[in-house]
Amino acid sequence: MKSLDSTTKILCIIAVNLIITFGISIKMEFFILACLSLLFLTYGKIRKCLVYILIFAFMIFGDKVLLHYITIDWLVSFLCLIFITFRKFFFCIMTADFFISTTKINELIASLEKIHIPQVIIIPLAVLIRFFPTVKEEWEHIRAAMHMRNIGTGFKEVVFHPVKTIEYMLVPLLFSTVKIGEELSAAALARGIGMEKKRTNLYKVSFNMADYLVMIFSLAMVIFQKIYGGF
Amino acid sequence: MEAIKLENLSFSYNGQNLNNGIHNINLSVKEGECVLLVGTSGCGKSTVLRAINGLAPYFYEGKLEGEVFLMGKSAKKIRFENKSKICGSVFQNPRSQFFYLNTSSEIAFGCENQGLSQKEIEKRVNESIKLFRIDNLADRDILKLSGGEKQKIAFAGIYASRPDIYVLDEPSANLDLDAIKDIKAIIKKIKEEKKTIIIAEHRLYYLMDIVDRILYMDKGEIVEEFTLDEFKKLSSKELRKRGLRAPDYRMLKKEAFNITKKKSDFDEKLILKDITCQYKKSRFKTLNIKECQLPLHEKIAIIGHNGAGKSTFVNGFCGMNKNVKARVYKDGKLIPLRKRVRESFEVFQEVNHQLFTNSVEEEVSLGSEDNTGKNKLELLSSLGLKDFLDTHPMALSGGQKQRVAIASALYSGRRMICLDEPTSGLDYRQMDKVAGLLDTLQSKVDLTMVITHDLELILKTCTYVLHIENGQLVEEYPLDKEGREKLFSFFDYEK
Repeated sequence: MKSLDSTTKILCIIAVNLIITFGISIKMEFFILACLSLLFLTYGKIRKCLVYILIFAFMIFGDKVLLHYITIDWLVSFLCLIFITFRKFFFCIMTADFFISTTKINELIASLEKIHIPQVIIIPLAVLIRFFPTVKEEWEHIRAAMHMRNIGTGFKEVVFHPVKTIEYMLVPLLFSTVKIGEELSAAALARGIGMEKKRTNLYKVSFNMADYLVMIFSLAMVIFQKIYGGF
Repeated sequence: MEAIKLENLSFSYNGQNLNNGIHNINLSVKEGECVLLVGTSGCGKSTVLRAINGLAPYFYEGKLEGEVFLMGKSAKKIRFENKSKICGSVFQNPRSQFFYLNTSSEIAFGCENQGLSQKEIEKRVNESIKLFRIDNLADRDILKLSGGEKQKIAFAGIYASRPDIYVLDEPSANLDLDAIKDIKAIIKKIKEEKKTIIIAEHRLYYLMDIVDRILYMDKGEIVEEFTLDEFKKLSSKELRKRGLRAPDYRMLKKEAFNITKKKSDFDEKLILKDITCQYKKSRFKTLNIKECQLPLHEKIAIIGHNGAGKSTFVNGFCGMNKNVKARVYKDGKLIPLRKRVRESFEVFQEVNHQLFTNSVEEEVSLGSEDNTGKNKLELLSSLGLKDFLDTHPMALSGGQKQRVAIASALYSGRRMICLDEPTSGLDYRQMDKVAGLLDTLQSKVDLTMVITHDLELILKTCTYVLHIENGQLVEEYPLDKEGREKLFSFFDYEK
C-alpha cells in the first residue's frame, strides 16, 4: 500500500482534535478508536495498536464499572481524573503518535513545502520531530543511570514520590537534550539549512486516492459532529 | 591563493562563557594545505573554527573583531547561509549532527539546501558513497549506526556539498581505534583532492602523515607554529608541558616504567566463571568467557576493538544487563548477584546522564539517605570537590562531574567501580587528572576497572589488562615488561 502523505496526517490530527473539542459521546469515541486503529494497522503497527485499545478499554471499564463501586471521595476524584479527563486527551496522543511514528522528516518537509508553508514554520517543526527519537535514546541512558544509583522509576516511587521522581528524571534529560539541541542546530545551520533559494527535495510528493479518501472522510466527520452532534 | 586568512581576529562570547574567546589571531592557510590546531581544552581552538565557518557570531553570539577572508573574499560580504557552500564542517559529537534519520537522505541534506537538481544530488551522493567506500551504510537508519559509522556519514554529507574548505572540530573525540583509522583514510582522500583542511584535535597520532603545519594555541592565542618535522622532534616532556598527547605511540615505548608485578603477585582476586550473554532474538552468544580473573586493589584496563563485548562484560558484571549470566567467586565463595549489584557502580561515558540534583552535596547523599553525615566532607575533599558543595553539578567541568558521580558511588558504599571511556576527548592534563583519580580509587575500593582505548592512560596508571575480542577473552596479563609488549602490539595502528 502506498503510504499517506504528511499533509493528510496533519489534517487527521486537526480533525480529531476538533471533533473532541465539540464534545463527543461514547459511541463516537469507539468510532474514532476504530478509525485510528485502522490507520495503525495499515502501517503494520499491530502491537502499538493493541496497546492503545487495551488502555482505552481499561479507561472505559474504570469509568463505567469501577467508579460505581468506590465510595472513598479522594479516590473517586483521583480515578475520575485518570478515567475521564485523561480519556479526553487519549485520542490526541494516539493521533500524534501515529503521525510521529510513521512520518519521515524529509517527507514532512517535502509535503509542507508543496503546500507552500513558509520555511520559518517548517524548519522548527522538522527539528522538533527530529528530536523525539533523540529524547527517547537519552531517556534509555538516564533510566540505566537512575537504576545504577538506586533511584527508582518503578511504580512504587512514581506513586509515592511523584514530584521527586519526576525531578530526577527531568534534570538530566533537560540538560542533555538542551546540549544536543544546540549542537544539532549548529550542525544544521553549518550545512546551509534555510538558504534563501528554493530547496530541492529528493522525496517526491504526490497525493493519491487514499489521501483524498482520508481527507474527505476526516472533513465529513468534523461536519457531522459539529452540525448533527455525531453518533 | 589563500583559502583562509584571519587578520587580527578576536572573538569573545556573550554571557558567562568568557574564557574561551580568542585574541589577535593572524593566520593564513594556502589552498590545498592541511593545518592542525592543538592545545588544551578551552584554549580557543574551536572558537577559531567557528569564526571560520561563521557559527561565531551567527549562532554562538559574541563580539567579533578583525577580518576573516574565505577564498579571497571577506566573510562579512558572504551571507551566513551561503558559507556552507565554501566551508563544510564536521563536529565532534556523532550523535548530534544529523538532521534526517536515513543515511542516504542525510548525505543529500547539504545539496538539498543548495537547491541542486535532483539528478545532480543523486550523482553526488553516489560519488561520496563510492569514494569513502561506505556502500554498506547506504540507506540505513542512522540511529542504529555506531559512532564511527555516523562520523563517516557526516564526512560523506559534507563531501557531497563540495566545499573548498573542510573545518573539522575534533572529529575523532568519541571514536575507537578502528573508526579513527577509517576517518584518517577519509581525511587523506579529501587532502588528495587538494582541498583545504583545518582541524582542531587532541588525538594527534592519526594526523601525523596528513597535516602540513601545526599551530599550538594557549589562552586564546596562537603561541607557536611548527612544521610537521619540527613537531615530530618534540620530546614527550616538551609535549606534556604544553598539555599535548603523544603524536606517536613509539615515544611512549621509550619511557621509563617501574611496575614489576607478576601474575602470581595478585593473591587477592575475583574469579569469574561462565560469563555468557545471549539475546533472545540472536542465535549467537554476544559474550562467552569460560573463566577470567579480576585482581583486587589493582587498576584493570579492559581493552578490545569496537563491538568486542567490553561494555556488555562490564554491564553484566554490575548487573545492569540482565541477559548476562556469570558466577563470581571470592576466596572460593560465590558472591550472590544481589550483593554484586549492590556493591558495584559504573560511571558512564556520558556523565551528564548520571547527575540528578541541585547541589554536589545533595547529589552525593542521593540514594544513601541513611548514612547522614558520615565523613562526607572527608570524602569530597579527597576527590578535590570540597569547594563545590553548593555548586550545581551541571555547572562543573566534565572531569569534576566524573568525580561527583564517583563520590556518590563511594558514599553509598560501593566497593567495585567501573569507568567507561573516562578519557575520550581529553587533553593530556585532563587525562592525567583521571589517572590520579584512579590512583585515589585504588586505595578506597576493592575493584577498579576501566574500559578504554587510551594507551597513554593505561601506561600511566593501569596494572592489569583484560583483552576481549568477539565476546571472548583473548588474554589477561599484568602490565609487566612482557605485558607492555603485548599492549603495544595491540595499539600498533600501523598493523
